[in-house]
Amino acid sequence: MTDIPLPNISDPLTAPHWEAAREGRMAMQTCSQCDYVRWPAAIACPECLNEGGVWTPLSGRGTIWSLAVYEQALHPAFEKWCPYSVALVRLEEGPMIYARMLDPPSVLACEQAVEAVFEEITEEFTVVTFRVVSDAT
Amino acid sequence: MQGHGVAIAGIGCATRQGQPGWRAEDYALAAAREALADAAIGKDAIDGLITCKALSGAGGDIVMGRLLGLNPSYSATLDYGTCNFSIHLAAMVIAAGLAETVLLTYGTDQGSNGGDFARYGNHEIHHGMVDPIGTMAAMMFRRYQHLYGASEADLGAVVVAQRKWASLNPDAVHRDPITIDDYLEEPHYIAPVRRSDIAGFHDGGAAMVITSVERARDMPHVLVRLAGKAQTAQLRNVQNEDNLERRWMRGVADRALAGAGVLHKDIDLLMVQDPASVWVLQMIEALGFADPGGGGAMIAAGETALGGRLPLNTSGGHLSERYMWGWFHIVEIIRQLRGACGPRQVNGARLAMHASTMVAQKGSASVFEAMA
Repeated sequence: MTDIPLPNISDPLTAPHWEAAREGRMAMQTCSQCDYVRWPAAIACPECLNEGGVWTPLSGRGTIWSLAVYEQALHPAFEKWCPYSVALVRLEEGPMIYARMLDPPSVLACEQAVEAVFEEITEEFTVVTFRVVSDAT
Repeated sequence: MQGHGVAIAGIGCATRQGQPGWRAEDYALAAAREALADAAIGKDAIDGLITCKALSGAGGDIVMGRLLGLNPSYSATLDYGTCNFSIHLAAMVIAAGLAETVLLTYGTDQGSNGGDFARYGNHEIHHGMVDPIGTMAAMMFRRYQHLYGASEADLGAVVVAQRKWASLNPDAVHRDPITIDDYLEEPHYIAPVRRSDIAGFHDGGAAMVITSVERARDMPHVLVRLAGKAQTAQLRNVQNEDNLERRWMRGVADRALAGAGVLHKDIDLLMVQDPASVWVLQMIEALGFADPGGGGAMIAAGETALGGRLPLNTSGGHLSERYMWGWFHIVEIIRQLRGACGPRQVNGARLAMHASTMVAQKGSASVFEAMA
């Protein structure tokens, strides 16, 4: 069934992100010196080069920068999702992140407001996906 | 200024496919032999070797030097492709006095052993992001549509135009002309792009002999010099918000033209790297040869065709000639500036530009000039 290729969730660098996702939160590192929120995870801040940083919960809100639509599966593991799309999402806090969208591709467009949804792939692995904010107020 | 700079004195191509027992380096070697013959020099004249690795990592100077039987004064390997980067390094090496005549090599067996773009860099695969180049192309074109209201026919214009050029190139892999209707009937691959918007992979190799303009004067061909060059490195990748829009290439074109002391309107022939068709729209606009959002209409109107205002990707490019990481783009420029392109010859071509990017992170442009 689920032979989706998984990332290494035990890598000490990225494990806090996956742990947070399992608990239904989106987390990234915030630099303790300059407050820059960075993605992907890294040992030091790419803005001020300060080592370390605090894993911080993010709002999970952002906008679609653009997206790609897979009408047919290019890997058998993803047949169950078809048709699906992967978006590049610009998060409120700044970082850009690639993630799958849960909405049908036909309703999606650039610059739509989206929010994070946490989808359990296996017991150990939950992935951050997004959906369109239906009642943007 | 560094005298008259450097010239491209010899070019070689390996176009054979699937040779039994051959690896990436063997295609590079076959191309190198041809480049030496083209420059009418023996390998004893080579005192510099700059090799470019294939996507697979094959082709380092340690291996190529052994296969070529060379002990040059200088050697180096670039980890990333597109010929511009290798030529620029050769120009620096020659200007610095580290070598006088440099051989550049590139070879790949990715047609036989490499599969396709889908095999590379799929670190986001748990999202179902299977083919990073196809996915990037789809995202780039959807963003382009959002910004400019472009249609899929605007993108198809690139594919149709390059196929038309390829029909005039006996070395091109895809030579059968297609129409915009053929293109639009093709199903999406990763929407909104189609399979014919993405280059396939092939075996092959390319090589060049680079030397000073002074030395090249004694060589057999029309002298083609590197007149201008510029690069940029957008290494923060998609964390730069306009990264996938490629507008950051504008300054590169301007600096390369300024280095050559010429203007956009002086360029007789433009080659842009095109692993996917949307690169072409983005590049000709970012480089300043088309208005933002106007690239598709310009191409569809025939302005980049034979006899048009700005002949573009005259070999058929990656999309129709073959995927050779920008190397055959410069080979095409040299052939055009020598007047050796037969039915696709751009009449009176004297100045040409090649612009390339490495994924959407490194950019470069070169201006080449045929000397009287």
